Amino acid sequence: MTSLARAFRRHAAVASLLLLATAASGCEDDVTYSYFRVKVLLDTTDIDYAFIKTVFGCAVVVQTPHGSDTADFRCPTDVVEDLGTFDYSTSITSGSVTFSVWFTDINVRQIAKGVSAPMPIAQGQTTEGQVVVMKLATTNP
Amino acid sequence: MPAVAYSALVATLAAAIGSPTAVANDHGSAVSASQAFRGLRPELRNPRWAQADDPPLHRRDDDPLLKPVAEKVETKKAVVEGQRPLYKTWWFWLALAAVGGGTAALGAATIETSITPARSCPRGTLVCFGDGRGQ
Repeated sequence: MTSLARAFRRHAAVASLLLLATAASGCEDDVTYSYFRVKVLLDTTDIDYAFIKTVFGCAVVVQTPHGSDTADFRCPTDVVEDLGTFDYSTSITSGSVTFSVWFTDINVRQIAKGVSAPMPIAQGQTTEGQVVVMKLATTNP
Repeated sequence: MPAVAYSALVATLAAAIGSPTAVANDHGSAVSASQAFRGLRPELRNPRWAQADDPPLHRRDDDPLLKPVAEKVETKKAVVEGQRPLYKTWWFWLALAAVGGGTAALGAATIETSITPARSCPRGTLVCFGDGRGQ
């Protein structure tokens, strides 16, 4: 075997290993998700139909160990107690997440907010929780 | 007449090969060239080195016919010595790394779209979001 062939084989083997390692890191298609089903409740002590009619935008923000994520959802129009449940999935395997629900008016001013307790991630399982949305003190509907 | 012609032929041949026309034998008496050659074995009469067509090495550089060939050989040798093997050049490995990296990136980007999706959104849910779900 010539020295060229030997060198090519040696370097080709190293390059192949690097390629395989890189490809393997990108081939992580076997993901186990953890799910959170969070019920959104309204604090009925200060939220009434008049206040609900001022709500223009609704969003949920989740804080995770790796950052944050957000989603909009349909705002209530005729409900003043139980808005419904949202579903969040994550591939993060440890730590905890915290959900915040925000209501804004037509001027994109925050008028109500609810924050969940930190919810630990149970890998591959579904964790249930709730967020109680309360009118912000500075709100003057 | 034939004897005179034979003697002349032997003398001519001896002069042509540069041999003395007369050499001394083992007993010190002089013998003619034809006699000396006749006493040798055939392979010694015409040795292999004397059969070679190639001129002596010291004459090659001066030979106008061989000079271009010699120059060509020298040029080729210089070119070969000036070139490094392909695998010893930095740009070869740079190109190889670029091709390999591009292939891996392309593969990763392609596979990224085929990551296992999260479970489907349950009916009546406000919104489903997070990893494995399109926004």
